[in-house]
Amino acid sequence: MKHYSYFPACCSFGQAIAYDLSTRVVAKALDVDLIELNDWNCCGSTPYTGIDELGSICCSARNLCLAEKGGLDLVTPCSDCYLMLNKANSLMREYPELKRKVDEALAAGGLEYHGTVRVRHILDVFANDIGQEDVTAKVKVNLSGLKVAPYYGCQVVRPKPSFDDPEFPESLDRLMRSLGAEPTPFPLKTRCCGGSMVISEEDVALGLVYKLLDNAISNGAECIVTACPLCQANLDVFQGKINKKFKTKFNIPILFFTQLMGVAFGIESKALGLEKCIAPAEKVLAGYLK
Amino acid sequence: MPNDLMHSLECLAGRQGMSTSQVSTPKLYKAFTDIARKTGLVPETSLMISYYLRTNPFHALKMIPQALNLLRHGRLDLKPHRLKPEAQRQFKAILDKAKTLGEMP
Repeated sequence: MKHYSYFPACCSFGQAIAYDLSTRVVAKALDVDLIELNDWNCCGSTPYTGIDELGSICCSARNLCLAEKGGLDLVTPCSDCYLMLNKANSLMREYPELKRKVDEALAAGGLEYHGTVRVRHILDVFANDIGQEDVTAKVKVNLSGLKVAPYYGCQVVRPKPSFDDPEFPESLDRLMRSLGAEPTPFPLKTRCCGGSMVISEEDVALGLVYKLLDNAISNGAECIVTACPLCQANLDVFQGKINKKFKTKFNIPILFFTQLMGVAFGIESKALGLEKCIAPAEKVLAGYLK
Repeated sequence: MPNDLMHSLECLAGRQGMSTSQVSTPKLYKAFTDIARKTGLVPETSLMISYYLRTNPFHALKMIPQALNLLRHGRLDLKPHRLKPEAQRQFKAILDKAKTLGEMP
């Protein structure tokens, strides 16, 4: 069994609850032990960085301190948290002057950080630590014939190259193949969905989401899988609004990649939160569901 | 990295009062940061309420279909979330100290 510290992210309380559910059950099926980080706090996500950069680094640094006590890699399913925790970690390593300031702030909370934590995305863990062979060995329902657009979003492989190519990542494609599914070509697979701008600059974000949905569907996808909670929300929750605005009839399920792994592992749909998809997934997955 | 540069510029613009009233993203960012500082966690529902109260509460009406859809599908979290008191005190002490240390070096 492999052990990791687990950082669920604030979105796991609400719109991405199915990501958290499916991550935990799929991890269990793969003998991966996710130990939730005790008393974790907000990672100091993108909006925080736009207001107070040092404060946002300190938010992540507190989580890194908590993880360091456990001595395990810190893994999260949220691409934004992954980016922020990783960014804080690497900036502190690269800039001693910043590390000195963060250390001073952490000391005010009785903490110190020695820089030993490795931050990981759950996609990296399943695709690389577990790997295709072991994933395939757990498949009970081969997803043969299912055409899937693998959508990485803009944060899981960028801005700094990490576990996959920043422009043409393949880890999610390979993971889908290991379930028997067929990844479709998806030229926009690392493009931005607009993130939280869907609230503050709705027209800009809806335009981006429209292009993504159109690109996936016109390349033959029956569903889209993603590794990012914000991408899932924007593509799923706003399809109705996009249909009105662009006079389209999109109704494509947007799944977390962990949900599709769970379907292939024969896990029942409720445990994977499939009923939480707003564009219904049952029709597309009818032949595969237990 | 280009996005780090953008965030630095956002911070500078905010501090110098240069953000324009034509875009409301800075208000969204401010709402997010205030909730994070206060409670240590940022549930989406709290963020939405805070953002629309700071901008135009009537604009929230256009999000009602999406909110109802989320509610129907068990994805609208209405429970309050905050750190445990001891963790919250620690988190606040760290951020209060960070405030006294000036800007990013």
